[in-house]
Amino acid sequence: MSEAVRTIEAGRPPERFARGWHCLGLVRALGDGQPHGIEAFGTKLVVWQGADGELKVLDAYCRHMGGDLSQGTVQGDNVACPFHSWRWGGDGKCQQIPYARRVPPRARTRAWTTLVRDGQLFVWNDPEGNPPPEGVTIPEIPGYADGEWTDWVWDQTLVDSSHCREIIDNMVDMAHFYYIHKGLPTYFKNVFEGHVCTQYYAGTTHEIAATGLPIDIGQYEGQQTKSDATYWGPSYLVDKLWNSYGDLTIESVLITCHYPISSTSFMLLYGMVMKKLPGMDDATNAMIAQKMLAMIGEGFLEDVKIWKNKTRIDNPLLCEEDGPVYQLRRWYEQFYVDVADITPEMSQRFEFEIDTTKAVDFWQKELMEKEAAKASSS
Amino acid sequence: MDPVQCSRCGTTVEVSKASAAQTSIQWYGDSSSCPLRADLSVGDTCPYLSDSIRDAVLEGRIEVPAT
Ligand code: FES
Ligand SMILES: [Fe+2]
Repeated sequence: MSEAVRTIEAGRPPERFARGWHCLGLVRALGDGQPHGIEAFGTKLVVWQGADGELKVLDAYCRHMGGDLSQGTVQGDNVACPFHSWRWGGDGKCQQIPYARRVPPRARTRAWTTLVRDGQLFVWNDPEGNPPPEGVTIPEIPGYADGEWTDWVWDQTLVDSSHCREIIDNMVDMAHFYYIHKGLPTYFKNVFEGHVCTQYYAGTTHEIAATGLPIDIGQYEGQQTKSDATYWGPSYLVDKLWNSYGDLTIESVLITCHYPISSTSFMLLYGMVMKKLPGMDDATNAMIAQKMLAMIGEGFLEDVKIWKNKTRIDNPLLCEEDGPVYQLRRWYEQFYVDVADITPEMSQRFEFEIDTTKAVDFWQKELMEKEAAKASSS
Repeated sequence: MDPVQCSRCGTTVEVSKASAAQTSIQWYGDSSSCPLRADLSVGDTCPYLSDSIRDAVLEGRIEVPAT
């Protein structure tokens, strides 16, 4: 009898876009008085700041003759289309047609519900057209408004030929932190509840592990890196990070978020604020934050390289040291179905802690052997 | 999975362990029945529930495969 070979089920990426808040970028970049075009949610959006200081988001294609509003100009609170200068307000209504006696009664385009939080702009996407439910929001960073943190360092990268589920999978993927991100996870736990998904991570570095010092396993506290990362909805990850270098602990908040462009491409945005280090001026603090973000950015590029070359897989074959991939995807599914079709399995609380004993033991041995080989060859 | 009742709030969850250090906890519904919830981070396991699970393991009500 021949042994059955496992077959990959690639499935198909969903046609619709996730219900939830999506960050489009920083207010400081989008609020410069110019209209900005953003390809997202299978169409194009226009973002601008009106004279009233508010950021507004509409579908970019003018409902008159299809002009691209992001190529137009800001006129007072409105955006003017470059084609025939129809003026659109942030509420989606055509406010004025300079050459016409009156505006047709049904001149209304799609206005996106916006939220500004700690210097970032969000839009609410819901294929059913409902407003955000009570309690579904983006948390504030405590102390951000009081200047305890550096200003944002921020970057973005386009990921084409992948659905954004790939980046969500990272939430439960303990082992890839070793192979892709040069980390060594020693504690790893996931919790799903409602529209929220958390990953607790503690770990050390390859360098520290290679010294052969004993590694404390299964403890959230006391490692070189500690991270508490939560997705608030389908696309916005707030990662509270503590990195220790001897006596110095750097505390930062790393944002990893995305908005879908099509069902097979998305924009990956990432940014960071760092708790200002006492005794250092703002410029030095900003420089450290910039350096940390650059390193994290390199890590994302490693992820992107994997995504570009991997296949979509709906039936991953897992071992015990892998995190709860199926439960994660069940949780993620809630954002792609109508609210009425969300099942208890998608939103009930589920907690999963990985046993890292075998992994840490193997990885440390591997790193020590590499170190020894390096030492004997030099 | 085996049921475990929290000794503090009486909520019943289902628990399984693949090893001494691995734990899965399936709740039925949200965790609002936990009186500590408001003071805990979303990802924190309630310490009373953790104790109840530990007791269940000690009493052999949850099977822990030998490693
Ligand atoms: S006290 Fe029972 S679950 Fe928290
Ligand atoms: Fe990753």
